[in-house]
Amino acid sequence: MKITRDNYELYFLDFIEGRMSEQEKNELFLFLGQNPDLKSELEDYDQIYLKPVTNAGFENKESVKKGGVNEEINESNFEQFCIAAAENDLSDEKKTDLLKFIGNNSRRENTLMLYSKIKLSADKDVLFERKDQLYKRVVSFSARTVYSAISVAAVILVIFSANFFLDSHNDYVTSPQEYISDMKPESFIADTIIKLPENEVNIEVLQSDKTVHLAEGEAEGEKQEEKYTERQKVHTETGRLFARANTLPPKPIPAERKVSDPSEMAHRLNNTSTVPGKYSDNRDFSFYNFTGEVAELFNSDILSRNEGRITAWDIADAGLRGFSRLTGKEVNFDKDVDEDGRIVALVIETESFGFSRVKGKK
Amino acid sequence: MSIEEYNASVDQYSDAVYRFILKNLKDQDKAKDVVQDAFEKLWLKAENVSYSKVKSYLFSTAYHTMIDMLRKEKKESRMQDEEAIILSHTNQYTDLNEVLNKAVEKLPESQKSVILLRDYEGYSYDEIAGITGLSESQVKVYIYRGRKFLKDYIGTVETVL
Repeated sequence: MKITRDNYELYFLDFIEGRMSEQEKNELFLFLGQNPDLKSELEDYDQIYLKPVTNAGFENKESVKKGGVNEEINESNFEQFCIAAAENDLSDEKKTDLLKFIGNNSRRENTLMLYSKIKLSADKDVLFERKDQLYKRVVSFSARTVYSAISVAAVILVIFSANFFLDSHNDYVTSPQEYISDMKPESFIADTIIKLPENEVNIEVLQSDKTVHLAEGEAEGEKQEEKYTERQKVHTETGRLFARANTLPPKPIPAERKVSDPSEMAHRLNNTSTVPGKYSDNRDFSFYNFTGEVAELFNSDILSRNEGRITAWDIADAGLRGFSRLTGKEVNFDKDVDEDGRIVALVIETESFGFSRVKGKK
Repeated sequence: MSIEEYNASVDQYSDAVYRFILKNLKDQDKAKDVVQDAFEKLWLKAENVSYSKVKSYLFSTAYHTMIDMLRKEKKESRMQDEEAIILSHTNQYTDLNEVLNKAVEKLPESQKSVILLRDYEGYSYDEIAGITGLSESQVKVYIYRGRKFLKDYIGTVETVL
């Protein structure tokens, strides 16, 4: 590239910084000969560069030098020796050197003593208060726990099954469910279905006239309601229902509703009738509704209380009492707990069986 | 690390980590948050952290969380400014801890942390380097400078005797 008045600055800069070859310098001098007015500018460029001062220097280098503890101890590295001693970083040899250097000099002695005292200590009274939020809870089910729960459930099932079926062979009727389950509620006559003991005198027949309101669409013509008579046989002392009958014409029972489950039948009956007189309170007869009863017990005994968490035992207890009311059998289910609330013994008693287990015993 | 070991580490180290962070932050709530955060991080990494390394992990995690917090609050610059101040005093203290605690508050953050780890927990230079992410030589320099600063702050041994 040829030097012109438009690019000469680049060449001036290379010349001053010594980056030009001899040929380039000759070209530059030729250019300056043709443009003498630019010679002074080149001289000005030369003046703007700072040149280092080479003949001056700091004369007190030794006075500001800091010697490490690896060097011989002197006044300049004395404090480093003191700190190293306090940090236990000195070898035995260096410690000896330090003590020798201190000698009888009280100032040095105090300096060493001061460094040895500069140790922070934590205030042990300051404690972290949120530990409870940090702990992780162990949730585990041991095989023993699972087997225990299964065994308890199995025992309960066996006891109920045995108690229920053994009592079904008795002549004396204490519970209506097994009979009600076989009844066709639309047409049965109680006396012909329920076997009552000959000497039973505590049975009261309650009779009442009722009206059933037929739902729209079910009625034919203008017939919107139908009158009928309901009779119920009730034990006068216990209030237990033995049979219910009415005079309504039978309706076909859907195939899917032909069930023998007593609780479902009781539930169906319970939801379709009321009992007159002293038994007009629906709640008195709600015990025929097992699921409703359990729900009621669960609500009244468990959910409505405010005593900590609900345990499986609470639920099992509610379930057993529901079964007890459903079957009319007295079933006691109890547990003994220690001072910490842990279950130590279980007791299940029925009219036919009794079962107990002390936790921990094999 | 098992859950039992984790819970044991809560018992063993939460107080020490809390004291270390509290001394640096001087704010109880923030210090508690930092400690809680450190343990949550530990729990998340529990499978990868052996019980023998828990203490260092907690201190390191808490330290870096604290540094992040300080940077966010721009306290760092204020503390650096304090570093340039030449401190001297003429007060007479009867308790060395009292004057030391005052002096340590004046230390730059980097020096304060390493000295606290050194004095409170007895960590070696190498361990402090691992916790703070500094080199071992940096740790040593900070400790030496910190000690010198504390000594100059206290003045003479007669001040506390």
